[in-house]
Amino acid sequence: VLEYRAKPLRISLTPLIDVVFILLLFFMLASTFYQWQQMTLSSVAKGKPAISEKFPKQIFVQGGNVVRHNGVVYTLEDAAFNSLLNQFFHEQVILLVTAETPATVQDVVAVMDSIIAAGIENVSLTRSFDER
Amino acid sequence: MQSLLTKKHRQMNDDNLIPLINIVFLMLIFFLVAGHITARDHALFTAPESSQQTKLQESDVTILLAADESLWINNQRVIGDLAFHLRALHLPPQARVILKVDATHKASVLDPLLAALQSLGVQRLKLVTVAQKS
Repeated sequence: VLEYRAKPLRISLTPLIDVVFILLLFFMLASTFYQWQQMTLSSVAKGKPAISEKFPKQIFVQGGNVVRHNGVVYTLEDAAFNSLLNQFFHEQVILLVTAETPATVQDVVAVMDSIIAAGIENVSLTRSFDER
Repeated sequence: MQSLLTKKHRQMNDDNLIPLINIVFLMLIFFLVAGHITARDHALFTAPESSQQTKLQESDVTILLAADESLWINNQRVIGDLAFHLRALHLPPQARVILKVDATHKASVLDPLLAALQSLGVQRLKLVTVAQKS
């Protein structure tokens, strides 16, 4: 009687690691770690407030965390600016944000951030303003 | 005897690969779980930083104004009148439009974009941002 003794099957790890390396390379190159977020912008035409806007207040973004309202210049960290935003929130005003010439997109986003953080919902972006 | 030794030697080599494969597997799992695969933008762009925590939603149209001031609609390079190209898309007023604008651009670059979208009746649009670095 012939006795059949099965040999223990040994899988070579080399092809496995080849495939795993290829998968690793693919995911390393194709994956992104950005967490995109969004900021809602509503816009109104230059110098033309929407019909529902009774008394819109306007904030001018001068760039570098500096803003201007009614001729008074504030920085975003100013307590006076935060109390102004609080006042706007309680008065439920419609706020227009206008970028002046040196302001960058990042500056506008920073100002919009402060406004939204103060709870003001009726905020619109108007087109840029050049005093010159 | 020689073949036995060779076999044993080969087996020993394979065993040495086990710590390597463990690490590679761990890295693979990390990239699978932590990363996500999305279509890449065709041009370089740095999103402005924002403290808003709203996750980016799906969109019908993506407009990219890249760092080199090139304009892309749905990853297609656009040259000329933006409004004309947007009109060709036959966007409904309730279309979800996403704007990707490089953070370093002057805010005035938004003017023609806003004007073109207003002319189509699109009022609300989303600006893509990234989380503020602490």
